[in-house]
Amino acid sequence: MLTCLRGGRIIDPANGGERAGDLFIEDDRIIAPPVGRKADQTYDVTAKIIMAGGIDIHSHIAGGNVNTGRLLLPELHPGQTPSSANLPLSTARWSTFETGCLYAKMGFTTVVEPAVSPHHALHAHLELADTPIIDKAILTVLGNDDFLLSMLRDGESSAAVAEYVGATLTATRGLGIKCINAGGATAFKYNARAFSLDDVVPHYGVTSRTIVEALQRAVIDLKIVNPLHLHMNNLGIAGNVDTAIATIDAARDLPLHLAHVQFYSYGTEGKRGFSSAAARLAEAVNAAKNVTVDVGQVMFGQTFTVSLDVLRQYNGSRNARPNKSVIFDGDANGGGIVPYDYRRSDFYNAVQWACGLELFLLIDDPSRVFFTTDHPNGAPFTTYPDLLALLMSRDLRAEWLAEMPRSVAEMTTLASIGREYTLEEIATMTRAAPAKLLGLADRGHLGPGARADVAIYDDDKDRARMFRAAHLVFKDGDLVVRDGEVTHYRAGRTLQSLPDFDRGIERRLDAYYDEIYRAPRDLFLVHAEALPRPDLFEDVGLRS
Amino acid sequence: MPQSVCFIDGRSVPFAEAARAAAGLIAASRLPVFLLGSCDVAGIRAAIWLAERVGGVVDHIESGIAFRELDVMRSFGKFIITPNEARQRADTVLLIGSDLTKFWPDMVERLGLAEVPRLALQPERRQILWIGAESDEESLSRLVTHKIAARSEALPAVIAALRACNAGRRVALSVSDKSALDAIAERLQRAQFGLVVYSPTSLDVLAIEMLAGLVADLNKSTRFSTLSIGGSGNAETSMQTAGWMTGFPVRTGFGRGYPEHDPWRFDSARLIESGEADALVWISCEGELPSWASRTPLVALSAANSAASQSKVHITVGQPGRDHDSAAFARETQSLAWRRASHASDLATAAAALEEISASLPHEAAAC
Repeated sequence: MLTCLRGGRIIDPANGGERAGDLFIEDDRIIAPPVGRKADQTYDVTAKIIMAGGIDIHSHIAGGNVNTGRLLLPELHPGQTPSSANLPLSTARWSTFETGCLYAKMGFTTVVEPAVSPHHALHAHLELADTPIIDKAILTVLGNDDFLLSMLRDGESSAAVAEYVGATLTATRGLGIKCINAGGATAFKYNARAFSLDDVVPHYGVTSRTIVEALQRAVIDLKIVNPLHLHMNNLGIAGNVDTAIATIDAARDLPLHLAHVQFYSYGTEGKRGFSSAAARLAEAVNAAKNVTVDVGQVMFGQTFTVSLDVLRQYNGSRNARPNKSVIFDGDANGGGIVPYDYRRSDFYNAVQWACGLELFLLIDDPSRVFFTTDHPNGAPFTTYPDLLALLMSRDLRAEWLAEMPRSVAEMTTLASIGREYTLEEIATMTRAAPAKLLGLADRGHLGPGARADVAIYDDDKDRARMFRAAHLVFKDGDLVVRDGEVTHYRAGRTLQSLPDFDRGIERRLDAYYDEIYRAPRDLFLVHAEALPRPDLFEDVGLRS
Repeated sequence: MPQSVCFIDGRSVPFAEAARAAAGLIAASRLPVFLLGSCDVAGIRAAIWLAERVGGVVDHIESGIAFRELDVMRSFGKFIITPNEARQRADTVLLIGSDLTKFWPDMVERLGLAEVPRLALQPERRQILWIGAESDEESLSRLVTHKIAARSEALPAVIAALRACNAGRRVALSVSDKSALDAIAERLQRAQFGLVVYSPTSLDVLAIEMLAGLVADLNKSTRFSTLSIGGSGNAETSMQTAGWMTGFPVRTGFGRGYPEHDPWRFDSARLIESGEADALVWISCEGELPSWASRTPLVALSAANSAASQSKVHITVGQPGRDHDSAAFARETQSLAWRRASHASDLATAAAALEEISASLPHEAAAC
């Protein structure tokens, strides 16, 4: 099947930027304009904006903790709209089916669930299997697990650590490794209420810094393209910009991705002792070319926060809105689910909102800053269109800022920033750069050979309206959205990395599970046949 | 086509014919109830798909107990822990109520109650405290360091008094011996990591919430968490699967074309007894149906000898993890886990039976 998208503005930064012309899809791939062939179907997209399918590198859409959030807060997501017969459960709010549809409508075709504990990996994959249309992946969380901390305490070699990381990534079918408040969740089990980069995990005698360095090294040694994703210490605390900058220094010029840095961009100025230090953090990120970040933008409204940083979530639970939360001391990280209502009139929330925008606008290179709200922590992913509009319009930002407490403008630099993102920069941030970061060579661009994940938008001056409902979306060449409405379900893939490692570690892990967990390790693994469609895993390959 | 043993009105029929009869009964129903019991993720998924398609209701046979837990979580919140983590850390264990080892025969071993916690900073023998010791549970009695006897009906008041003692408040002494309660409160406060173990089977919602409050209070100065035991884990598989598919736990109805959750409206016993529901689909490889189930035409996807006599249509299904591979909640991991068939057989899975029923529905079958 040959499809022609005729006459659009093709925004494709990975292949030279913007070009005008026809885009051809054959089956599930983009192809070069064929000579002497007539398209089987043609869509006239004159003057419309064509981008590759969006890629979200950090969105909590699946897994045990997300599910606890659903069950904790039934009052926040009552149903309202019947679903059509061919899209059952698509209007079931907060369901996996709704998630797949809402992402597709916005033109996103690949989403990474960034926080899966190894022992809950099967649960996460079962949820992702019920998330239609989009492709998915998980990041496997290490850094608070007894096995790793014991290895570091005992001074085991970096090769041994890499074997363990490789075995765990493979067993959980993850795309990459995430570390969440390294050692902090374990320290919380020893009643620590704060935990910073050079604090020592009780019992193990290793610091957060040691854990991060070891995991960063293991990911590099295993040739996993996607660098270590790090949720740093001291999330959400005034003055934590110092932690973020110290962590960037600790990366020693090696690849490192810092997650939701908005939550680490706080200073201590002003009468409330809470101010934006986003400009300082942006400067540090600009200088450290080895570092990429995603923002974790705050937008206003009711949401819930879900994190494996159980220490932070416990501390945050006193501000829960509504006032109820779940604190889970799981194997290794566990998690905390704390509902929260970000309010425009709240000084702290408004400063957080401004901090995120400052980071987007002050980090020069759109290929090193990624587009997230840390869904649902800063805001639901459904606020992306509004956020894109804010990035593209200084006037719109000024309108929003005018409705906030005056002190917000004083405690941030936002009002002074004139930058407006171009469509090409948006496509870099949400398509080309994430594909490069995650090692997805055939995504995020529209060159020949690319997977035919394509989003076509009306060139609407109201950018929020434009990005909220794509005109057309193709997934693997299959038209799945027309005029902002999903047309049908299809099963998406799950992307994984399969590093090479010495399998000798498996015997050691088997013995460890028998002794420590008193259950066969096999019970904790993700077997493909446990999923409704075992054939939908895709190996993304390794760094050459 | 999976081999099965199927009956219509007690008459042996082929699988496809049974599925057609079940589909006919469901299609003719104004409000069918899909009642889950022991079932794996695949079976629950198939039941939810079918219930959604015909505008039915999904419930679980153990909802009554499971909602005690869930109601406390969604009104107050919870501290929870895995048994593996508890075994390695808890230096102080507070047991609540009798029959805990009946609900979980492996409890003493899985929680390592007789052992020194491996990850404690000062490894010492655990303090085992027991409130509501009623029956003589030999395996526990020899481990217990402090004990307060209380009949189950007195437990809520004793727990409340303990929370008050822990907070340094005055308590009415009629409920128990205050000095014994003070001794337990003092032990709780000295814990480096404490664990409360209880069963929702023997506590009401208010007592569970009081325990959750006690644990929240203790966490202000030390670390504590809770482990709820009882129930079979089947309800948990259903709650989790329904959670991601619909956003809600079971006791969810699809009559309006989207899921609505209401523990009273969609209580299967109430729906059947009141006559609101006029068909019941029972999906469980083990256990017996309660007496109220006989009031309505029944499709049973169950074990060979279960519910066969009272059902209009009976399809024998295999047991997950025994007859076929399955994903379901595992107490060992406190999460969903995959188990290979221990005695693989050709019996149909509940999922396959439900999919065959769904495929046999008339095309116009849709929500009322």
